[in-house]
Amino acid sequence: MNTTDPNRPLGTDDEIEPHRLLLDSGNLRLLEHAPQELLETPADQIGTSPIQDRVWEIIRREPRFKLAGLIASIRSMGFLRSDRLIVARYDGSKMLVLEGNRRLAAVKVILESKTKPQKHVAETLGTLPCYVLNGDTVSGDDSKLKIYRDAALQYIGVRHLTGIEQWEPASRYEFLARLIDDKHMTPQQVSEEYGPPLSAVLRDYRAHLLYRRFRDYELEFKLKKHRLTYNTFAEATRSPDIRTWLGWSDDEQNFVTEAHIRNFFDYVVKQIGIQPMLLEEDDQDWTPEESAEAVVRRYRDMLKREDSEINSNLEQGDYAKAHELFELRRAGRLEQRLKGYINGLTSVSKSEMQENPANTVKLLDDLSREALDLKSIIEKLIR
Amino acid sequence: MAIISTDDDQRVVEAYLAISSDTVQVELSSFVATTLNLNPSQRAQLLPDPTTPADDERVLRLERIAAMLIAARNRTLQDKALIPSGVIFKQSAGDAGQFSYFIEGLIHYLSRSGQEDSFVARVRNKDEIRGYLCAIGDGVKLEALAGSILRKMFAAAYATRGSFDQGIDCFASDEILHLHSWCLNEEMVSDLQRLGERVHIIASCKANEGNDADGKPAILPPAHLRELIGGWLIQRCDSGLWHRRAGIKFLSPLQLLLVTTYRLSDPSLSLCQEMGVAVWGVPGLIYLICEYAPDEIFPAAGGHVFSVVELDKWVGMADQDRAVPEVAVA
Repeated sequence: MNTTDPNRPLGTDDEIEPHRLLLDSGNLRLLEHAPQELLETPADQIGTSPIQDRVWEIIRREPRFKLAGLIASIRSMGFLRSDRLIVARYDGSKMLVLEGNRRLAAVKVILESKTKPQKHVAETLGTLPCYVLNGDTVSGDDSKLKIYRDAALQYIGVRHLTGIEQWEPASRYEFLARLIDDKHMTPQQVSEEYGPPLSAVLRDYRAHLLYRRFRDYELEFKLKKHRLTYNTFAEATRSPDIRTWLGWSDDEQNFVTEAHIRNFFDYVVKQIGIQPMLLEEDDQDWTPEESAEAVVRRYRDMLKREDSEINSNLEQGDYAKAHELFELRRAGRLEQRLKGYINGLTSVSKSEMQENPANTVKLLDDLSREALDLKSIIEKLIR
Repeated sequence: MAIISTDDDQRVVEAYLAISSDTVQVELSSFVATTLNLNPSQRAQLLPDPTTPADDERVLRLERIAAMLIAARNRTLQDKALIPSGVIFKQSAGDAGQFSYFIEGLIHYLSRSGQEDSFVARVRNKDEIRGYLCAIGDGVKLEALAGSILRKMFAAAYATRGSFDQGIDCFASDEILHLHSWCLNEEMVSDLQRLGERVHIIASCKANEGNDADGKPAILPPAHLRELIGGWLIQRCDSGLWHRRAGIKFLSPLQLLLVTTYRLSDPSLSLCQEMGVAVWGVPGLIYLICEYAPDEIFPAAGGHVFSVVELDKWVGMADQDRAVPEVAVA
């Protein structure tokens, strides 16, 4: 028997019409989504319409397969010719797709849809690029099918286990920005052609814009080595409060409140302890005082309070005061806070009293004085 | 997947392959229930009805049975070159857009599908025609039969004379790319203006010599395929004998046709598919005889019963009129 070598599965490139391609009911993707009987369909029945229709239905309906994004991408850009399907000869005319079932299912949806694809897309769907594994036709022989499936595992493994090395966020955002800024695609088009949801495209693009502005800021203030990553800005632009504060404009697709942008950068830089280059010595052992993401989250929480006093202190760069007010507001109403102080004073142990008695006595004097002052102010107010 | 057991699967397949050509349309679930003598409770437990949700295991079970029957029909066609008496198909059942599988006798199906009565009556003879074809132990007779059919299909068609034919057993041609004469001629000679372009069909015929009428045909030796492809290549070059006789020009479209009473293995069929070779096997020839044979072969007066004698006569006429390459087209 002329079979493919499972350890070295070679094949040849071919262009095959979609109607000659069969979905594989034993496809690993279907595990946990298809009944066991379907996964174990005998080789001579895989090509029949009941099995093909059922597999197609499962791939179409099961959200985990995320077919909608792929369909949108193919509808927009066509089938990528560099992305071959791995197939085995099934019988005298059909080929069984061992790798690429999701893509084939998406193509079938498009071809059967009443909405015809655009001309440049239709041209890519007449035939699909396939890598046909060497060997006999399966011809209803379960043992031959198993050999092909085993052989295809090598390709499937590379694709799904080893996988394509995912871009780091910086590369991903830069790619997005090039599509939008250089190729003048709208975020909607990017979403349709490349698959990510529109919300993700917008989020990443905003992060990119803010990041780029920060790089300018770094240069302007000669900050030491580049410390902040995209994640900081992704964290920031995820927050509607920060976006509003920085003046996100849908019309201009950019952040427009320059003073607040500058203020935000100042805040983050100061909080994580980045210093201008000229003032710092070697910083090999530099570690941030606080993670940039945590700093951004506190900034977000402060804005979220919509407290004019806090915001005013932020604008003036008095971050210590802004923090203090924020902590106070967070601690609750005055009455509640006072009860907390009293509780703190009534549950002091002897050992605590002996720890630093001189300083403790001084602080208690300060507290008494502040309490009397506050009392006097309140009494005047209610008179 | 067994319905109840593997034996039950087998019983359903056998019952399907044994149905009469005149069996009326019956829903697959009813067919299975009847075949296995299921009582209403068993049927409801094992098989779906039109209201059963699509992802119910009973629907999946019925789909698997349908797949099993389709595969069995395919084996009968491919391995035995026998046209089964039954068909299976999917069609809408009910207003809610559900689909069901149905089984029906072939003759009943063809009648219901709007085929002409005379054609349907001819198809009743499918097994006798198959017997005739499988008994052809002589390649020359198969060539003449193919030539006869091609003559009915095309304006010009011939079987070729036996020797020095370069592997071409029949050829046929038809004019293509017609235009209207009003846009080409100074006077209106006829409506259609022939540009003189033709598509040519060149056929190689291989009879399964030694097969008996009822036997399972042997697999076509791969050498025959190579011969056919070689014949096409020769006609593409100057040494082709049929240029003048058939009017084949250097760039004329040439379609290869393999006519055979052998079976083709899947790899051979695959090769034909990839190379663009059309194939007429036994089931295809049964259809073509039913479609194109003269009425004498299926006399209406005799209830359209297949006449071997008349078919031999028809084939004999083509045999008398074989083409030779030396004769040039006028």
